[in-house]
Amino acid sequence: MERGHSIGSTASSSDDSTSLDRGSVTSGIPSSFASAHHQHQSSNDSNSSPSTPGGGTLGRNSTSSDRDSHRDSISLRPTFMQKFRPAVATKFMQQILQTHLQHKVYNADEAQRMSKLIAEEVKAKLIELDLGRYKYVVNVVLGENLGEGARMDARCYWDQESDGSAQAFFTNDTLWCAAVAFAVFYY
Amino acid sequence: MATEEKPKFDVKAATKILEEVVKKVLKDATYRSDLVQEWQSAIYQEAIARLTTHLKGNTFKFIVTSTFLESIGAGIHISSTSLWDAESDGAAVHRFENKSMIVIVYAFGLSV
Repeated sequence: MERGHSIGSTASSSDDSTSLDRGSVTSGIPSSFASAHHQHQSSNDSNSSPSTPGGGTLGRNSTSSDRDSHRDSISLRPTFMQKFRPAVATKFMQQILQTHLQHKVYNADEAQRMSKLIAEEVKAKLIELDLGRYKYVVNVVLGENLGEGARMDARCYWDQESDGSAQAFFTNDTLWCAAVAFAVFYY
Repeated sequence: MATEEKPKFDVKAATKILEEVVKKVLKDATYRSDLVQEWQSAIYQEAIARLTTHLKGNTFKFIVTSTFLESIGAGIHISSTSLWDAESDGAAVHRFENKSMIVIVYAFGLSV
């Protein structure tokens, strides 16, 4: 039951990153996971539509490639509505950072708790988006603002068409915080 | 449901890879803001290449994150949370410190 993965060379293309001055969070998505998904013809009847989306039986079978946008068929790419949209995530991530850190002062004890809390909240919001077939990873970095140079970056080896990331950054006089969320499609 | 064996993300191996890569790229360098980007690219290139060859690259998607900080006594906390398949996915971290900087590298492996 092969899925015909051909991993093209991971040539790093340009990252579309917004690099902020200090503490820049550049979440680049350069390496494209060039997988040629060969959709196999289902041998018996091509009318069989396996279970509905929403995570049901995500077997490794694919239906005929002729009618790939049939709602109930298992597709190897998310449809537009089921796709992770970074803009949406960025917006609420920014809000979360703002609400939690607006007037806070950096405090070593608090910081650990706060960073965890922010990460959990971002994850909860992502789950709320109800994109059934996505796995999420959220990373939050909270640092004391002493004017130090800092840079945070990421590189991913994934499928550029279906996966994505979102980031948010907050800073005030005593602290800075960078949050990044990755959404990876589960085939 | 497919009953094939699920490959599991090998955290130990990944951590070792990250350690080797960071050591190789940074050796004993001093923090220089103009070189950070270069270092990061080198780390990613090397790390992803090694991860894909060692960890069955064709069944995993990888995310490698790094944070470089100038070490001037500032405090920092990093948290990470995820929604994934606990049986097959995992994360590896490596922290590198020297007199001038702190480097934290994360590698997440998510099975397809």
